[in-house]
Amino acid sequence: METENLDERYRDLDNLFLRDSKFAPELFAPNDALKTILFDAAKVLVIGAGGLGCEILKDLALSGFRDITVIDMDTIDVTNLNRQFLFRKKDVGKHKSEVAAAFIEERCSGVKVTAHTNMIQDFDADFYREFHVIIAGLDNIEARRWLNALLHSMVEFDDDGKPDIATVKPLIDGGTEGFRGQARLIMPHMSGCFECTLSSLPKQNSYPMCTIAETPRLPEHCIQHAYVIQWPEHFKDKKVDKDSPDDMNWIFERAKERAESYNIEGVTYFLTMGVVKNIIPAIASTNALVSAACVNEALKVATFCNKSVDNYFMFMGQTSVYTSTFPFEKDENCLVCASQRESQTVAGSKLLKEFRDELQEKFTLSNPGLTAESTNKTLYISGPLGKKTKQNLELSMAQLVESGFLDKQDIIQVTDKAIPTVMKVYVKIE
Amino acid sequence: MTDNKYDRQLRLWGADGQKRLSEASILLINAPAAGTETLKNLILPGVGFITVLDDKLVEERDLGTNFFVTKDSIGKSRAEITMELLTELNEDVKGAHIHESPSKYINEKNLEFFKQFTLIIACDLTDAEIDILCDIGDELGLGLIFLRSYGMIGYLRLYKKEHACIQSKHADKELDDLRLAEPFEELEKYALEFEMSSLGSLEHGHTPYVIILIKALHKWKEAHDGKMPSNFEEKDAFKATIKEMARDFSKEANFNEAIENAYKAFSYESVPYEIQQILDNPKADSKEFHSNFWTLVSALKQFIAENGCLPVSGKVPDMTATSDFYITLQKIYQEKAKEDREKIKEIITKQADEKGLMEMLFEDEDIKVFCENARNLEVTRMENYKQELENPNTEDISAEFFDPDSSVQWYVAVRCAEAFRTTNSRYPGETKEQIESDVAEMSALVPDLLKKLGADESFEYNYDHIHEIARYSNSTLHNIGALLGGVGAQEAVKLITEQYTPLNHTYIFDGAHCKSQVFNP
Repeated sequence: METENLDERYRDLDNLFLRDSKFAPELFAPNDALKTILFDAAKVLVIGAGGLGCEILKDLALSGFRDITVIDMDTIDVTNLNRQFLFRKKDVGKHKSEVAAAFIEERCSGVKVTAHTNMIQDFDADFYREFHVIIAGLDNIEARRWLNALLHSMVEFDDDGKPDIATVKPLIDGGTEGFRGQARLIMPHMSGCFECTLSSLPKQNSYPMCTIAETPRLPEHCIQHAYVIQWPEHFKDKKVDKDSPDDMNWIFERAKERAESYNIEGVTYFLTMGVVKNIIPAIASTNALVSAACVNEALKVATFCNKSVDNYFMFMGQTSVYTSTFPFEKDENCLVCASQRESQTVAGSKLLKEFRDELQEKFTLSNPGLTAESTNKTLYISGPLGKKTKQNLELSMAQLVESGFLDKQDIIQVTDKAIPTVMKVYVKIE
Repeated sequence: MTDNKYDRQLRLWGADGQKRLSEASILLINAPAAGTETLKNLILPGVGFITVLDDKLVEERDLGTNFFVTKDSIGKSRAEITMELLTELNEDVKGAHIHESPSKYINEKNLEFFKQFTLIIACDLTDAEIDILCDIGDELGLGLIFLRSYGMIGYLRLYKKEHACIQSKHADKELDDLRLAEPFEELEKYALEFEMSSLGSLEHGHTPYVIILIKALHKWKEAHDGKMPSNFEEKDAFKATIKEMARDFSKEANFNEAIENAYKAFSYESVPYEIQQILDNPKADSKEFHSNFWTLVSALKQFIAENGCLPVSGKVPDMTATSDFYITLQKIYQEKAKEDREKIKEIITKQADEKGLMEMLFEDEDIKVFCENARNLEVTRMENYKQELENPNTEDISAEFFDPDSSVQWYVAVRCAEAFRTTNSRYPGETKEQIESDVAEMSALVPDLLKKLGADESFEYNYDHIHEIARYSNSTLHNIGALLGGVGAQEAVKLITEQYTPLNHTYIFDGAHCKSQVFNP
């Protein structure tokens, strides 16, 4: 390999690394070695090579990070091209992570980008432990929850119950919708975490079933009818393939028929796509600014050249620009990061089924399994393995205590595919 | 499957916004990261044409901060290389480059040159150059975006003397225009004749809240000398009458909606204050042609004089209702909206005749969009740069000095750094040895500046900000450039599409704390 003139290339970082600052954390001391750490030691993981991911990769390469890994299982779609600038028309259908990595390596000589086309759930803690900082540019809640919980489970505590900083992986998380976006820093077990803020997320736009079935008024109601009622009636065992023009056209035609019969105007193919795929508007500029804020935090976390964000940066650009930076506090009852939660009092007459339904609703779980910690007995688990436990659902909490499944004061371990670790719920049966 | 690569943005600014974007021509003056990143974020969504004006050659240092240069382009024209690598992003976009000194074009006030552009984005200019470009912008009615960065600090200054916007798409405003307080004839007739007592329980619980509110208000006014509920007690009493109209309030969502939406009737103004201000502008009465926007406003003014209210928008939000009730109601609003649009159209033609102008070419769709948004029109006026430096508007910024966490500290530091640049023709702290004396020189400027900005005497400036900006000196960090490129492109899209509200007029990003703020001195 030819020698690179790195000192000159990254000269703009010198003033940050070699000069004193009143705004840097106490740990910071101006030092020539910071560049070496950044160039030769720092390993960073980028999750997602989409709108945010492309930007994040570019920003990292131009901030002096030279060992980058990227994970994304998606392939390139033509609707990505208005913002995912490492892809061209000829790349449609190829893996995002691989095309993005190759582009960055080609443009930024000396930068190594390793691409993976797996799901993030395919990797274990040992894999994630390799990195100094992890940046997520994801478009879904499930992956964020999973990653957040995994990074929390990797933290070790000292005798005083304080997190061992060496085991704390900083997670920088970005997200956008239209002209809005946010960048945040999660220090597992030290700051508020993704799970803590789950309940503050806006609810998805949904239409009441009775409106869709009986009193449609908007074109959206007719599209939903075609999608959730007519399709399953017509195609008994086939799911809608949202990427298939045939399937989408079928829904569009049925929606149009229904709208005509009610004199409702405005069903178009464009709107049908928007409703069925729940399309969120996405533009290059918002991705750019959110990613830049994320990578700027990565640079600070890696070198201490300035203080880290505390801990949530929100940007709203639709009407003038309004931004806010504030610490998202830990939720004392967070399933993932709370150290000791208050016991919740549960009526003895409550059925296990009801108790489980409440948990599922409260913590947005898909199909939780329950085990009592004191007795190590499974209260409920789904699937063939849990056939026997199904009858427990009809028992009351008091009956479960009487039959020795559960202590009056106990910890119920909750497992669910949404979260890679065991969550604990402290209960007191009355 | 959609094969439109612009699908995800059309859902924001629609086909007319996209058309404007595709017809825009953008000039970039100087091409460091902040500039090329802004262009990137405009090229991807399909801006029409870009021109890069820069006289520098690509250096090794550009490779560390700018994505749109390559190793083998060192020594070549930065304007040419960045333009080529930028336009390669989107085949719909064409570009040109000019390898010449921007100062020449600016100092010569070359109007012939600048008038070919829709918008100018300029990086790292001095105060004097910005001042001249603002004059050029005034003369040509151009939008200008100035970008500067100082290490972790990013600065963006927007300037357009007057920016008119029809589709403001306010994040917190509703587009509906239900006329509950002053229903037009057809609507009132329909509502008052709507027979509820004979309805079955499904229909009763699905009678649109619009009908319930108009009925209830009509009854209230009859009993109260034709007056609306005005104080808290009366409003409560009015809501109680709605509750009484329900058969089972706990189950009838429509009656609950009627109470939730009663404020729309209480707070109704036939012509909102902000719109009246626009109508009061002399351009609304002018006999000359100013722009399509003012032609439409002029017609609107005439419409209000004749009808006493704004044209009906025709937008009806979803509400609990049977399909039939809703569609019938929607039709009543839409018919009225259509009627109002026709009147506006006639006025436009008549006014064009009177002014001896050729009839303006408005598509029906343009008039529709205008009428739908008549309650949300916006005209933004921005402070001129020279005015800001010499005699700033202290109305809002003076309050910032009571907030110890305000980024106004950085605004002051940036102003001092630029004043230093003007005097010394270099950035403060370019070498380590200069820092101490440069900090002293900038610090000496602070007290006068604070006074100018209307800071309270009790305010104690934190001079660490001056020290920090000297620490950063002329360092260009890619992330700060990329952030400015994101914010700058959002603002450019707003100016070009004439949708959404642009920021007015200065945005500062503090990367040292990841905070940012808008100022308008």
